[in-house]
Amino acid sequence: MAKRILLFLVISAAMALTIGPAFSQDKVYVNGIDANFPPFAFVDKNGNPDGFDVKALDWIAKDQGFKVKHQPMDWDGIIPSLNAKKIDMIASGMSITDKRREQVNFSIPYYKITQVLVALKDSKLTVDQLLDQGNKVGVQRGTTEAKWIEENLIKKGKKNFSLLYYDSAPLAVEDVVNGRIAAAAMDDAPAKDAVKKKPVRIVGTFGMPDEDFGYAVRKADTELLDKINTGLKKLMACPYWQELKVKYELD
Amino acid sequence: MLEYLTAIGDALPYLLQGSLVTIALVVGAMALGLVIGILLAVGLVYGPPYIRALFSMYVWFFRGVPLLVLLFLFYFGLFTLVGINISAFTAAVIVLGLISSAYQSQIFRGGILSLPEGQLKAARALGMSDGKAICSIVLPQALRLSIPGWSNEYSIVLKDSAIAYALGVAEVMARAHFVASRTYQHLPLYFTAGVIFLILTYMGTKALRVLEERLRIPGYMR
Amino acid sequence: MRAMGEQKEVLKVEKVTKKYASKEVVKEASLAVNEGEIKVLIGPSGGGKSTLLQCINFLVTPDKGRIWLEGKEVLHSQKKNLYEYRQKVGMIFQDFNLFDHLTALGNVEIALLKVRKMTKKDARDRAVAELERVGLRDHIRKYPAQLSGGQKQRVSIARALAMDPKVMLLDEPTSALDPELITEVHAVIKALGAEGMTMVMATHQIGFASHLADEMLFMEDGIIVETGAPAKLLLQAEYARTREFCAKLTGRYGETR
Ligand SMILES: Nc1ncnc2c1ncn2[C@@H]1O[C@H](COP(=O)(O)OP(=O)(O)OP(=O)(O)O)[C@@H](O)[C@H]1O
Ligand SMILES: [Mg+2]
Repeated sequence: MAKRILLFLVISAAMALTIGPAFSQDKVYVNGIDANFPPFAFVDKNGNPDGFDVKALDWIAKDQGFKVKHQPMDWDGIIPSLNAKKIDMIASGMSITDKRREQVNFSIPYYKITQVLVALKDSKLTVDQLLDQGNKVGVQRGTTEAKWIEENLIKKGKKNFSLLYYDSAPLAVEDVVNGRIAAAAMDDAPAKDAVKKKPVRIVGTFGMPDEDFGYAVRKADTELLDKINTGLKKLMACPYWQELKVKYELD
Repeated sequence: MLEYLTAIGDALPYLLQGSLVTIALVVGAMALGLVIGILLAVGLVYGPPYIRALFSMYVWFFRGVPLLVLLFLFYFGLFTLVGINISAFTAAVIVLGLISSAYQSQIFRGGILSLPEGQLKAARALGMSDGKAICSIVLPQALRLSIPGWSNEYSIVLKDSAIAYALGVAEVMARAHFVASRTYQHLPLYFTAGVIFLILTYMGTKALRVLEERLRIPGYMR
Repeated sequence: MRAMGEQKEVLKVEKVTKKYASKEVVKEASLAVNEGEIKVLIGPSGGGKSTLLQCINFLVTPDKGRIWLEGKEVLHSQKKNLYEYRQKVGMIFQDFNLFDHLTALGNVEIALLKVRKMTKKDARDRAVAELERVGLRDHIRKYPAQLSGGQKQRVSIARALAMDPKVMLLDEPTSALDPELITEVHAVIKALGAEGMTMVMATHQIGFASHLADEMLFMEDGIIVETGAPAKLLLQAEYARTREFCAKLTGRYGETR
């Protein structure tokens, strides 16, 4: 009896270690997404990846004849994951920045994004007031807005507020509602999503320049990048692009 | 309240699937930890000095470095460095298993040391090699004695497994977070995740309790 | 009593010494046992009897000294040689040391299976036979915790006998037993002697030992002080210390005739 149990455990250890890299023969590209970033990427009711970027990439893959699978993961480690070949691309509302360009290649830009501050619905404070008076402002760890605020508002010391880091923008919004922070800095698209679901409002932009979203691939994967660019151009020229924007309430 | 219940109801199937991932993580890690833990314990008790020193260092390392640090170190660092491309799930199983092996080794070591010295002597006197004596006499008894401690370790690994979400492993916690990001129903979702963990803890410790009872040597008082 | 003629030497121990820290617990102890002979070690507590017996089968590694079994020297640093030697030397411990997780049957079987590599059936048959021999036919399914002390010691004797030992070492086989249980174990040992088993036994049961022993060895402070036939050692020992010890024991137990 004891031996059988021991054997069972050993076998399960072996199995657990092998189900990981169970792949089909066909090369399936893995797209890493931040599933906490609606409406660009999230998981639907049934647990399937969904969102503007997910659907757009599905279209591109079909058009360009490759297979793609969407893998939710931690945003913080998403670029290391790409370069460690855990995933093959990132189509998940990633802003194109020079810093990131040093590590990955980006597709053509496909969406212009503005960073905004989100505060309680009945808060009367302006952007300037929110970023003052020793207030607390939340932001998602590892995002461009986090970096910009650190470098342009905190380090220069002009403003009197402190920055708190969250695992995702929705968690920052949750803390706005809880009253723990005065505002959350985030992209305008997910901010609009938050406004629909929580008693918050978009206060306005806070001086950060607009950014472009692009799809990221490893530097070496130029062929894949070409496919994505060709597909993306085609998609943006066809009516489905507008349909997607309507469906996910962008613009 | 109703709003909470619908949120839970909607997410439950997805979260329960996640509990299968959690169970796979924990069973894999506990099993890996068991195998390595037994080897470590035997080496720590019976090994020559250099083995004992080496194994003690292993235990010290894996008990000393935080789980999250090890996860990132292995997933993004070591495995990539040596060119092994493993999934986040596998990485989580390995790291949780290595850490657990360090703790399990101490549980088993305690079990071995609590046996009377005469057991090994009697086995040797019959002409058994130390290896045979350890496998047929020492471990069957020491492992029985280790079940309560092992049950405790199970509940710890179960809870630790939630950190695998940092690598994007879609276990219970990660799924609760995903759904909350879409629905903004953080409270009911994390609550449900907590309840799932409580149930898994209960089921596991209960099962080990039954096992302990089944393997109990007749005639011994508790 | 025993057949005369050519005496075959089974076990020879020469100048075995064991030190703990700087204390010599056994000092140059030598003895030889012929086939069918029974030698009994007596002496005060702490005199080194247990240590000497354990040195003989290398459960305790002696610092010095040599040991022969049936004329062949035991090379204890060679594992294979050591394990083979130990199979031929049966050891009975004061506190039985039965394997607690195995039934009486399992205790006797395990070495047959793991060491002698017998088939399951052969091992079982042999184990049952040995347990029958020590009068435990009805208890073979019991675990040590379900047996009395006397029954446990008999299981341990069956366990040793199953290995077909050339010589048995018994370290105070009855001193952990309640007085009313001693007899059953003594009976088994007596029967073994009658069948011609070669034995070296440490004991404080002088009365029992004196009937059984071919020779008694008085051991004190690690030294085998004096050797002789029971009657001689107990009644007319050469050394004062031996006489003192024997007088005390016979006085206490009042059973020497
Ligand atoms: N492992 C050990 N480490 C240190 N000293 C020991 C060890 N084992 C035995 N001794 C010491 O060696 C001496 C001899 O002990 P041993 O058990 O051989 O005596 P004994 O003649 O069998 O006594 P008893 O009649 O009480 O069984 C004692 O002084 C004991 O304290
Ligand atoms: Mg003794």
